[in-house]
Amino acid sequence: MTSLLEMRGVTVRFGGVVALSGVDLDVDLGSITSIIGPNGAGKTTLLGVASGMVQATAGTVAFAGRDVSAAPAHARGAAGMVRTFQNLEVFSNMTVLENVMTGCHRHVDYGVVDCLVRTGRFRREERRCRAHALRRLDFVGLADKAGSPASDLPYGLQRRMEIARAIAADPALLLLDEPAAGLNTRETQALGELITAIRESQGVTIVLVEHDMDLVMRISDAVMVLKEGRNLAMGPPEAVQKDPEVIKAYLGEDED
Amino acid sequence: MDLGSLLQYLITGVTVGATYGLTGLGFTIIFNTTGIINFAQGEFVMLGGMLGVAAYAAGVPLPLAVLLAVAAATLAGALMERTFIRPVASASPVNLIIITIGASILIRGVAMLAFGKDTFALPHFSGMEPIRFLGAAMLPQSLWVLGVTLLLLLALKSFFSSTMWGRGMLACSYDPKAAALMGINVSRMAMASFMISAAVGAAGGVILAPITLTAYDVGILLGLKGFAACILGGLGNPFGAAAGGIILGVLESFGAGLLSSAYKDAITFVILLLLLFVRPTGLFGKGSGERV
Amino acid sequence: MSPSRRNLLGLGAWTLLMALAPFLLTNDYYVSTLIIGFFNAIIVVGLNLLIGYAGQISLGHGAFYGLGAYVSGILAATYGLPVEAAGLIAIVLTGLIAWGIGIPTLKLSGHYLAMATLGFGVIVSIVFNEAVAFTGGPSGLTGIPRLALFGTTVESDLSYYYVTGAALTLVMALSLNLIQSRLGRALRALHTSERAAEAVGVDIARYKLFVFVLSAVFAALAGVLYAHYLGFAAPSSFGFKFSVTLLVMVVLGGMASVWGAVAGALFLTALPEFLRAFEDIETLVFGGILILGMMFLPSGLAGGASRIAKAVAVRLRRD
Repeated sequence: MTSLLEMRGVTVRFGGVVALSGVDLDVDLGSITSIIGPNGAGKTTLLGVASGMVQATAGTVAFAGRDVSAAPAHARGAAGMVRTFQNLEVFSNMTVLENVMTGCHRHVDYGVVDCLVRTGRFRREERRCRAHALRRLDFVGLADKAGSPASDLPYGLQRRMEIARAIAADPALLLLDEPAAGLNTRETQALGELITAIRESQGVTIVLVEHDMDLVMRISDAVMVLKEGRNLAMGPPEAVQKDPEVIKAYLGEDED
Repeated sequence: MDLGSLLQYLITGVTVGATYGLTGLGFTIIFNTTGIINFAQGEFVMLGGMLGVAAYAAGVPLPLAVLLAVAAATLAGALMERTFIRPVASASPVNLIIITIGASILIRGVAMLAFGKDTFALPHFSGMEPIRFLGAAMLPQSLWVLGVTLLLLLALKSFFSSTMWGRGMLACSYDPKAAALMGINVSRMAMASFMISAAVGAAGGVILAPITLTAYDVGILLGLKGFAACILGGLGNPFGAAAGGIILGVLESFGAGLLSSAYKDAITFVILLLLLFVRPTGLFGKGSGERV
Repeated sequence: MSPSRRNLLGLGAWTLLMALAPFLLTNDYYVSTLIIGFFNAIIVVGLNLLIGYAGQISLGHGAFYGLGAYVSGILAATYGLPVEAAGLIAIVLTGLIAWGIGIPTLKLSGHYLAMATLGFGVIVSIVFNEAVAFTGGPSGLTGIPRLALFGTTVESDLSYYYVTGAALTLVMALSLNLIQSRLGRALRALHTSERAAEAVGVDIARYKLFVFVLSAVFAALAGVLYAHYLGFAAPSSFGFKFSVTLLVMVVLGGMASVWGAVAGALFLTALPEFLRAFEDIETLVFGGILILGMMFLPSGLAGGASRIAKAVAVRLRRD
C-alpha cells in the first residue's frame, strides 16, 4: 500500500450548491502533495471531507488502508490524521507550550483517575509530553516563546505554533490548509523549508492546500488541480505547470 | 369527557397561548435583527401587566392605562438596549446570555421594589359576562386577547415586508455588515427591535392580566414559555413563534385538564426539551439558529 | 514556579486559613455562615469548570444540588438508611441523571444549551414541589438526620465546619489537578476552538459530558452535606433563583479560576448577611453584578486579583 490517503468519488452538496463532484485523490506515503485551483474550486472543502469536518454527500475516504468515511473528526485526529486551519485556531486561553502540549493529546497515556490523583504514571507522561512539546517548539524555532500566552504572538509565529501543535501529535498525515496565508515572501520561504524538514526528519506525509504557486512548485512531489469541484489534473509539479487545461483554468479562456 | 370541557380547554389554551406567541414574537424580532436571545423578554410581558395595574390604580382610565403601560415598557426596552446591549454587542454568546439574565434580574428587582410581591388584577376590558356556546364559557377578555394578537401579527407582517424600517431590520439579521454598507443604521435597528419586542410583549402582558393576574415574578416562566414557542415554531420565524405559542398553550391546557394540573408547567418544559433534542429547528423552522 | 507547585502552596495556605478561621472569628454564627458558604463553593468550583474552563453554560445547576439533598434526605429520613449510604446513593444517582440528561443536552450550544439546562432545572423544581408524598411539597422535607461518618455523628457546628471544609479542599485539589492535565487542556481547548481540538484527537462530546457530570456530582455532594446539616430541604432553595445565584458567583469569582470560584461563592454567601437590612435590594445587587461583571470585568475577582498581582510583581522587579 503506497496510498496513505485515498479519496474516491467525493461529492459534497450544500443546499443547492455542488462544492465537489466526484473528486478522487491519492496521496502517496511520505510525499508532499499539494492541492491547488482557482478560488471556489473546493480545495478547503476537500480537506474538510478528508478530516471528517465536512459531511460528504457521496464518496469514500480511506486512511492507511482503512475506510474512515463514517469516522467522526476526532477519531481521525486520534488515528494520526491531523489538520491545521486556514483561519488560525489558536487556543487563546493557554500559553504557547500548553497549546503544543494539547497537540500531544492522542498519545499521552493516562486516565481520569491518574489526573485527579497525580499518580506516578501521570507525572511520567506529563514530563514526557512536556519534553516532546518543547522539542517540537524547538523544531519550528519557537522554543524561547514557550511560556508566552499564545494570543500574544504575532500572526506569523502563531502559524508556526499551530504547525508545532499539529506535529506534536506525531501524525502520519498532516493536512495544512493554506499555511502561507498572510505570510510575506521571506516567511513563506521559511515555511517551505519547515514543511520539507518535517517530511525529512519525521517521515510525515503532507497534504497542502495553497495559493502560493512558488511554494507549491518548489516543495511538492505531486500536485492536484481542482476546478469548480472537479479533478482537473494530477501529477508532478512541472507537468501540471505546463498542462494547457490548468493554464486555461487560471488565466481564463481569453484565447478563444 | 364532553365537548363542553374539551372546548373549554381549547379556549383557555388558545388564550394563554396567544400570550406565549406574542412573547415568542418578541424573542424572534430581537433575534432576527441582532442575533441575540433576550432572556429578559418575559420581563417586558410582566411590565405590561404591572404598569397597567399601576396606572389604573393611580386613577388613569383603563384604555389609557393600557396604552401607557405599553409605551412605558417600550421605553424600558430602549433603555435596556442602550445601556446593557449596545456597549457589549461584540461579546461572546455566553457573556451576552449572562448580561440579559442580569438585565432580567434587575428589571424584576426594580418591579419588586416598586410594586411589592403581591399579585394584582386588572379589570376586564369589557366586563366579565361569559359568552356561552356549545357547553363552554368564553370570557370577553379572551376575545380581546385573540383580537389584539391577530392585529399585532398583521401589523408586524406588513411592517417587515412593506416598510423601510422593517426591511432594514430583516437585512440586519441576514448580514449586519452588508446592511451597514447599504446605509442601514444597524445600531438604530437594534434599538428599534428591542422597542418593538418590548411593546409586543407588554401588549401581551396587559391584555392577559385581567385573566391570569400578574405579579413581579411572572416574567421568568412566561419568558421560558415564549422561548419554547419560538423553538416550536422555528427560531427566526415570526409566524412560527405565534403558531408555536398557541400550540403550546393548547397542549398545556389539555395536559392540565386531562393529565395533571400540578405538573402542567413541567409538561411545557418536557416538550421544550424534547424539541431541543430532536428538532431544534422546530415545526416550521428556517434551519437557522445555531450553526454547527 | 510551575503551576502545580503554585497550586500546592495555594492549597496549603488555604487549608491553614480554613483550619484557623473558626478561632479567628468572634461569633459562632459566622461559622455556620461559612459552612453554607462552603456548600456553595463546592458547587461553584464544579460549575466554574463547566462554564469558565470548558465554555459551556448551565442555568439549572440548582437541580443537582436539590437532587443530592432530597434523595439523601428521603433515603435517610423516610426509609431509614444510614446517612453514609443515603449520601453515596444520592451522589451516584445524581451523577447518573446528569449523564443521562447531559448526552442530548450537550449536543446543543449557546442559547439552546442555556434554555435546555434552564428547562431541566425548572422541571426538577416542579417535581420537588409536586411529588408531595416523597418530598413533602412546598413546605419541604423535615426530620433529616444529622450527617454521620463511619458511624460517628458529626454533631457540633465546629466539626461540621471541618468536615465540609475538608470536602471543599478535596474538591478544589481535584479540580486544580484536573486543569493541569491532558484533560484540562482538552477542556480549555474546546472552549476556544472545538475544531482544532477535534483535529488533534479530542473527543469533545465525551469531555463536555465528563465535566458536566463532574460538576453535577460536586453539586450533589454539596446537597448531601446541606440536607444533613439543616435537617430540612425545601424546593425554593434549589430553583431558578438559586441557579442564577450560582452563575453570579462564577462570574464574580472569575470565569476560569478555582480560587476565584471559591472567593466568589464565599463573598456572595456572606454579602446577604451584611445586607440583611437591605434584603430587598439583594436582587438588584445580583443583577448589577452580573451585568457590570460581564461588561467590565469578564475575568472577575480572580482576574482583577491576578492583574493586581502582576502589576505588583512588575513594580517589585523594577525596584
